[in-house]
Amino acid sequence: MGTRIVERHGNTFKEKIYLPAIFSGMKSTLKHFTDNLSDASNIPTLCYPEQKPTDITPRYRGVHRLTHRKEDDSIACVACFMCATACPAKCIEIVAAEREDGVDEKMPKVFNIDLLECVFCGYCVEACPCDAIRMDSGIYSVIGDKREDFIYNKAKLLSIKGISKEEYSLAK
Amino acid sequence: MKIIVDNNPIECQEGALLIDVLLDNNIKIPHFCYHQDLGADGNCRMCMVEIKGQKRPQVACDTFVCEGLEVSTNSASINEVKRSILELELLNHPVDCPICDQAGECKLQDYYMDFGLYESHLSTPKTKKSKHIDLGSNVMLDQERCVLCARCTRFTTDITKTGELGIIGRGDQARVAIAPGHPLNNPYAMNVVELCPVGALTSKDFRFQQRVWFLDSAKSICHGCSRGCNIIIDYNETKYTSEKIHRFRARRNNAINHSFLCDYGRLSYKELNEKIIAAPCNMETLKELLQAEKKVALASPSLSLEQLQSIQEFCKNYKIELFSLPYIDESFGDDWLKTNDKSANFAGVKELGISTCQDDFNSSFENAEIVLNFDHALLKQQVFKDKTLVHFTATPCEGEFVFAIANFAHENGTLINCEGVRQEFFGTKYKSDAPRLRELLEELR
Repeated sequence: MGTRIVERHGNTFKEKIYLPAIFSGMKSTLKHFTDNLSDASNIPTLCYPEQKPTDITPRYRGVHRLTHRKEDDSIACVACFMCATACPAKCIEIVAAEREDGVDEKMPKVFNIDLLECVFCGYCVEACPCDAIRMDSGIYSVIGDKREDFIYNKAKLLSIKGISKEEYSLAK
Repeated sequence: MKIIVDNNPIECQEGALLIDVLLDNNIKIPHFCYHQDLGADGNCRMCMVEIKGQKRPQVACDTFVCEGLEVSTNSASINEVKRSILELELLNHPVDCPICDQAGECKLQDYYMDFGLYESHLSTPKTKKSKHIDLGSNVMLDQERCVLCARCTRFTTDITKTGELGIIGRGDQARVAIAPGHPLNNPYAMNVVELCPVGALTSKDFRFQQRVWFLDSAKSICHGCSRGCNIIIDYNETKYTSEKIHRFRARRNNAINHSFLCDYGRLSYKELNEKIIAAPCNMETLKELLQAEKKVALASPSLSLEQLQSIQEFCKNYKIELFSLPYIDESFGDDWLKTNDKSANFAGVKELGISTCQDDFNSSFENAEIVLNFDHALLKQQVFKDKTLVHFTATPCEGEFVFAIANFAHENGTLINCEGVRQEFFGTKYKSDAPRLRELLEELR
């Protein structure tokens, strides 16, 4: 690869005296100040938790959920450990087991996500080859009074409903 | 003699197989059916190479090297040939890598990433075959994943000569199978799992236990008998599980076990995972006990040379008579890898000049007040009323004075096998809960 020389900004006289930039910044600040002062109802902040956000879309990375298979509503996860491998926080604990119902060969016996360690990066969702783990629950707030409350197990993760159109796993 | 591979000269023996030369020089050559200890079969056609002066690509497993041979293993045209062959091999493959235990050490995956990366041309549904068939002897068969390299059938036909496995059917219906009512049943059966380059044969014992990319490996030696087969210990410790050994694999050594292991040895990893519950023992009490007049020690013949040496030194200091008795099991040995002597280092015991006479031991044992047992199985089960037994043990053991010591997976050492071959083994990277025997003895000095 060749070297590309990028011209350094800030060398003109106008940039060196700073004042024009400061005034243009102050202009924006003043505009917001007067706008908000004249019409307080339009301030784009929420009085959380009394007010709840209304713009949570399916793409929002909320609490994880485990999806079900369309055919029989059983767990879609096959315990391939791709999510646990991709996870940078190592917050996913899986113990695999033989699946006895004939739908598939393998499934997780234990599937725990430690939400206190999770960084909500979404790598697990990207890594999943079975569309079995998603973060489309829309849940942005998790409350508990002890550490164990934040470790979501398989049953809990399976019970969470998604807010996207696709309820079931899309894996073929 | 010299040949030229990808423009690099390589020294080799006249008349050697080209694929052996390539493999020995760590040159990537894809292959399914060829195995250095099973020989060539020539059915997979994966090991194609270009040879200067020859019109068509040749298989490296059926080409013998000769002076001035010029080989190309990595040109665009030969990779195109390999890609086509790989696509044929993978045509009906179910691509169920998420549930396949072989994933991560699968040749199909490796080769696909190396030079595959094509879109499948298959327009008809894939041929369905049987999955998860229990063949017996801890071996699971998945016919859909098979590439019909015939390594497993050649192993049961040529090496164990038991012939349980065969390939039946033709064309895309060809599959590996056993005759009905005749499961895989020989003491070396689990070798087929390791021989299988894909996920068609997997171990029932290891099934769904771990994904292989989470495993660490240590080079060790099987302690199951005096053959001293070279093994790889696959183990790991994760955030949610404590250290555990998951399997033994054979490590290739042409002088001893080639690439094979017996099932007994392969499954002997389990006892290394057993936790020893030993009451905390007081060193001072032990030192007091050692003041007694009549003492005898029995050392396991499976301990390493280094351990035996420090025991010898310890016994000399405390004036203890030291013995070691072999673990002879006449029903265990066979004419291949297994030997009747189930101790890993009996040759080492003899080399160090430790007494191995049963009668001498018996008479000394009769008179002794204190008996020190260095991990010997003989004394572990028994209780003697008039004697005080002190156990240094790497396996669970009951008694008043039990000192847990690290097992061989946590030790480095040297063993001498039944043929007098001196071999080193290495432990895992984790420290055992129990101290090493040599550290304990050091403390007692």
